[in-house]
Amino acid sequence: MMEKNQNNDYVSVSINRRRWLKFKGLKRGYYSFIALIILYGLSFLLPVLINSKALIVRYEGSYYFPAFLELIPGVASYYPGEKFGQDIPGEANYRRLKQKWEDGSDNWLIMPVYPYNPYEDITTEGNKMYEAPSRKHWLGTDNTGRDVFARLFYAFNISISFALILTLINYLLGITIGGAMGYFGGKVDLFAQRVIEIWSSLPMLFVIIIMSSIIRPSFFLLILIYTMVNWIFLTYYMRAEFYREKAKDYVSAAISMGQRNRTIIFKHILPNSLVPVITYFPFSVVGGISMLVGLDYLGFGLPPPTPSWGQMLDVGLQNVSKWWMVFSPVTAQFLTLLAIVFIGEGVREAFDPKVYSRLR
Amino acid sequence: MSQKPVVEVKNLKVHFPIHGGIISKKVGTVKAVDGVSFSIGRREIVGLVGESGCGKTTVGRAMINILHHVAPDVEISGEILYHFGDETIDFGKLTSHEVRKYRSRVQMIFQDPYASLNPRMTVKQIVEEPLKLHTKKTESERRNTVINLLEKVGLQAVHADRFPHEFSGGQRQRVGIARALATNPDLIICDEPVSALDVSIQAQVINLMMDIQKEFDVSFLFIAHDLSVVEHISDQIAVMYLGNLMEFGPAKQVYHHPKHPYSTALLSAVPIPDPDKKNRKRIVLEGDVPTPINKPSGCSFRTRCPVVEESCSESTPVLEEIDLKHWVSCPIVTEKQ
Ligand SMILES: Nc1ncnc2c1ncn2[C@@H]1O[C@H](COP(=O)(O)OP(=O)(O)O)[C@@H](O)[C@H]1O
Ligand SMILES: [Mg+2]
Repeated sequence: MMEKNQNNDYVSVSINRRRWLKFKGLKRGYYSFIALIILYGLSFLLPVLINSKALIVRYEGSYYFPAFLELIPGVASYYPGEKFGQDIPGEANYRRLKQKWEDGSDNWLIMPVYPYNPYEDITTEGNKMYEAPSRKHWLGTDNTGRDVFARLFYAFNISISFALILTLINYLLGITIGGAMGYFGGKVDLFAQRVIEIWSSLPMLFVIIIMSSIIRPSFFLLILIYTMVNWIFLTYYMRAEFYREKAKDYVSAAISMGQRNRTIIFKHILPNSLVPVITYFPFSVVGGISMLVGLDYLGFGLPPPTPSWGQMLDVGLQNVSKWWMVFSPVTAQFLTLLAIVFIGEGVREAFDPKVYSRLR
Repeated sequence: MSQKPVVEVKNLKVHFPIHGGIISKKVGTVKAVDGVSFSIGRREIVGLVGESGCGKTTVGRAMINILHHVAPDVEISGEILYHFGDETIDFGKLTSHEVRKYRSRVQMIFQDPYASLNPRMTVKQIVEEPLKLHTKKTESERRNTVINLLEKVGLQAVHADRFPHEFSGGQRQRVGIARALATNPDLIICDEPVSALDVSIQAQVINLMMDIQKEFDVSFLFIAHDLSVVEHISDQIAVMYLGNLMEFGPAKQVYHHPKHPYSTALLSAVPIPDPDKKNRKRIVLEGDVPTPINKPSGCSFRTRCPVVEESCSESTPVLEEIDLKHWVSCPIVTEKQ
């Protein structure tokens, strides 16, 4: 396949470029990819998009940026109500302040697009339980008066981050260990295989549930627990790929010209053995998300009040008559997973050496 | 120039252990190469022929010391002595670090042109890799060298930035040849370099190799199963059967006056282009090639030999010089002389 460059000359296209072009041509997967990338990127800006803190406060000649401060980890964004002349205990209620200053005051403030945060419940003045969707709460409130719409989006960020980090760590471990087994073979392989066989025969689901009921798991502890189970799966792929690739003559050629082990592994074998794990990547992310939802649903997941789809589903199902509490997490999850599956389908097809292999 | 041969192979044995069971106990051995000796002189082309599975590739791979890579537990014995200038080197006796230094002196052209080029590298990157390793050339010098080499093997400069999948089998094999030449080796081992190509392309590639051999002053070990190809290109021919050499001698001698019954049979299978000369009797070998796991005792060819005698099963025959530089490993033939 040839392609034109800036000078209008035809140049050859590398395999990866060809795959990217093919992936781009598969609209469903490509648009899902773009949409998810944008949404996930935006979800890191959630504190300035969906938040009960004001973006900018001007109070008696000074400016304050509480919502922006929340973007910076480790910086306090807390201002007590007294600071802005509010007669309430604890943090300032910016929505109230806005109402108060509306009629002809020198002080003013700008709220984010959606002025609720995912943690504020009925203890914050003005919030009610089980509110149906309205212009105020777009997707209503839940059993503790928390805004469902806000929780949905914060949970999106957490779910995707969880699944991505989990998958990346799994990949790193699986590729390294599986690759080493395949490349060095012999005793290394034999030993590692036995260890993996023993390890994989542990009933991991029970181990996880037991562990999470003893220690309240945090985000990273959950990832650690899951990684213990999941990396094994990838070693099977990588081991087989490395075995197959290293027996090919281009590797023999590299050795016979005196190339170093390191270069052979990273430059020759690795790029040629990643196809199965790359095509599997999106589905691994799907697996990570579903796993987190499942554990949260069962109550062994992230500690409350962390926004999570599984927890929302759980309380939703306890209050089925409040349709928005069920409908919201289910739809969010469904759309996200669907988009990732579309991406996965596109990736799989882009990496497929056969031209017509899709079921039509 | 010294008169020493480029390489002397002395009693080379390559045995692959077969493992079985959960603790991978050794349950047998594949005697792929079982005592092979020959030498390749400077600027000489030695043809190595034999049926498929008789151990030709294994000999070639043992000579470039890459068997351990795919089969870590392979057992290799004997000597492979290279004479590079004044140095005498046996890869098997060096550490893997020391071996790397000398690897550039012996190169291999592989049988399958589709597997021997990394699909992710452009032709330039492929041919340049040995240059990066063994020379201190700058980027632009390397590019020039690559283009030079490509032109030598019948490709053009425009091919440098293409990927292997854009080439035909014959062209890929040319890239493989260019890569082998890049280190300016003393010996090139060609493992059936044309058997995967169309017949029409085969002749071109063989002629190219003959030109290159003259121009670059290198020795060749040319492995093939087609005797007529080997006769055309080689100075010496070695005939191999089930891990042993049966006959080794000047190409013309071995081709026109084969001494060993196996060589005679192999030759009778070569189609004769000239119908007037069709007076050769075709010898069809009976039975299958025995496996190298369970080799017959004594002479490994005795189970299919047309002139077999009682004594053949008793002792393993050794190569004996029956003519000047013409060795045969068959006591019956030797006695008749
Ligand atoms: N890595 C290996 N492990 C076990 N047996 C092998 C290995 N490589 C080659 N063999 C065996 O060695 C014998 C010779 O093979 P090979 O050298 O490829 O023959 P040829 O090139 O003449 O066709 C065959 O019986 C083959 O099965
Ligand atoms: Mg072979």
